[in-house]
Amino acid sequence: MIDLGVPPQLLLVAAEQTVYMVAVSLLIGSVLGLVMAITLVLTNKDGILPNRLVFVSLNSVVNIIRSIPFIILMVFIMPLTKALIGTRIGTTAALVPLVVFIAPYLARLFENSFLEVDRGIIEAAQAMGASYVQIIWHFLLPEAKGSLILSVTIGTIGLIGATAMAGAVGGGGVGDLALTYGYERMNFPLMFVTVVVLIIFVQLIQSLGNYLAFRSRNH
Amino acid sequence: MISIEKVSKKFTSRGQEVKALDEVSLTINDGDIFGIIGFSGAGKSTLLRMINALEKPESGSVTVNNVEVSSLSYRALRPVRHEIGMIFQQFNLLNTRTVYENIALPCIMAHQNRQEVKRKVSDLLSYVGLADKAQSYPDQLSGGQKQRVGIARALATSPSILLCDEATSALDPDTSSSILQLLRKINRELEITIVFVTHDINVIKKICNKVAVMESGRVIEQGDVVEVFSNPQHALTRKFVATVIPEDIPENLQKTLKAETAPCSLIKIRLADRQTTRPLIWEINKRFDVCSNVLFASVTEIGGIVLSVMIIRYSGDPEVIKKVKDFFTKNSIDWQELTL
Repeated sequence: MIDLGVPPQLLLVAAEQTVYMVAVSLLIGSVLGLVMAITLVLTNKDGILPNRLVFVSLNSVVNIIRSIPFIILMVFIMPLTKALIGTRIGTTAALVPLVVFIAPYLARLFENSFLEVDRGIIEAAQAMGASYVQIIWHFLLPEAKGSLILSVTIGTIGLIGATAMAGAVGGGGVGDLALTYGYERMNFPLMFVTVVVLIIFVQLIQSLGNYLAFRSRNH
Repeated sequence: MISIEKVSKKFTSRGQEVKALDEVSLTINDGDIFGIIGFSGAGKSTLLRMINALEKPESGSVTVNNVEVSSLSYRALRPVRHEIGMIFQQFNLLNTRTVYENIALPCIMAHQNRQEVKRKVSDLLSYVGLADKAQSYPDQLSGGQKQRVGIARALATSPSILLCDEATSALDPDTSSSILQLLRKINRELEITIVFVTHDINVIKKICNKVAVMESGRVIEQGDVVEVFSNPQHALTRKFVATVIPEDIPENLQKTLKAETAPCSLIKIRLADRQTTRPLIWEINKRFDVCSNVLFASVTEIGGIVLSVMIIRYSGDPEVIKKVKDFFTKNSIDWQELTL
């Protein structure tokens, strides 16, 4: 057994923190991302509810947030975090910047998934007399499902990367552990183990995503 | 009844304005199988989409069963669209849903009772001949079977009108014929008016009773299929008709004829319906002292009516040949003299 130089509980706590941050921000971010993506797809000029004002505003918001590096975003929105959570630091406080970061990212990925849905299917839905909600529920979502699952997979892996920086606001997590105990103390075995743990995380998530996407596309 | 009045629509492509429809007027009666033919870009699909208001006109009006669809809101259009089924060239089925679910979807969206939906879908499946495919997915079906699912789905809301957008263009000739037969059966048995957009004159010939020919956003010719086929006015119509009813003397024969010097006349006659059963050539040979030689003949059935075209060479005394021509005119036979 290699000596990691930290108590094993610390590793477990870090893993827990990472899972917590990823899971909660992914859930909230997916819902927000889905709403934004659907709005973008509907209001785009070839969409079924073209609205230039809504499309251009939302599109710019997504672009602006996406162009800010996560570490800067985190510090930049601290007042918002304070207003929402009551504190600027800690694992829960890290959720706010994570959601703000991941929602527009997922929105972009979801938007592409929806745009892959054949225009003809939407036209068929309209010809059938489907309402807008029915078009989204019975046509857009089911036909884009496989692609949406892959988008969530990519988003999740992006989130794991972002949580490593959550240490900057005291968020903790596996990445933070590797930086503070591994890198700054030059504890090579610890860095190595955390990297291996992250690789396994990512591999598992990608495989699960691929499997679910495959299942939703093939019968 | 569908009535389209002076409908115009412009599109902008690459900064240039294109008139997709230019003051188009059409009337489609209940029970018709109305064909709209033209090359791609003629505006025929845009015109078809005006009927269920997938496209809205910039000017003019579209009225379906006494409802002006061109001025309705999206919400108000929904019940009207249940009255108008539509099928597509690329079928546009949901690939993630079974055949059963695809056909049931319009009923479910219309909040029909589950039991009723079940009965209706199985009736429709056997009507289109796919009773054993209920649990298959679209990508397990052939093109013809997919179109049958498309047809069943379009019929699920019990429409009175069925719009077909190049519905047989992605299918091989045999499959295409069987789909056309199914559509004709639907027209007769379920009394559904069919509007069929196509670039294939064979479709018009096989099932339509009315036809409109379109070119650059205009309807250049329309009427009963038999009339349009037997006497096409416009160059484009003639071109379309010639592909199903050839009217040319074979080239080799033309060469031989050109080499001959004896006085003769080449006459093309068109016979329709009852005229085709008249022993015309026999009558002429008996009455006049001319030599008749049939160089070309074709007989086609369109919309249940027989149409025959013949090119006959009459040789002999020019005076007598003139009498033959007078005979045609007197008997109201459509004829014209050809030059090689």
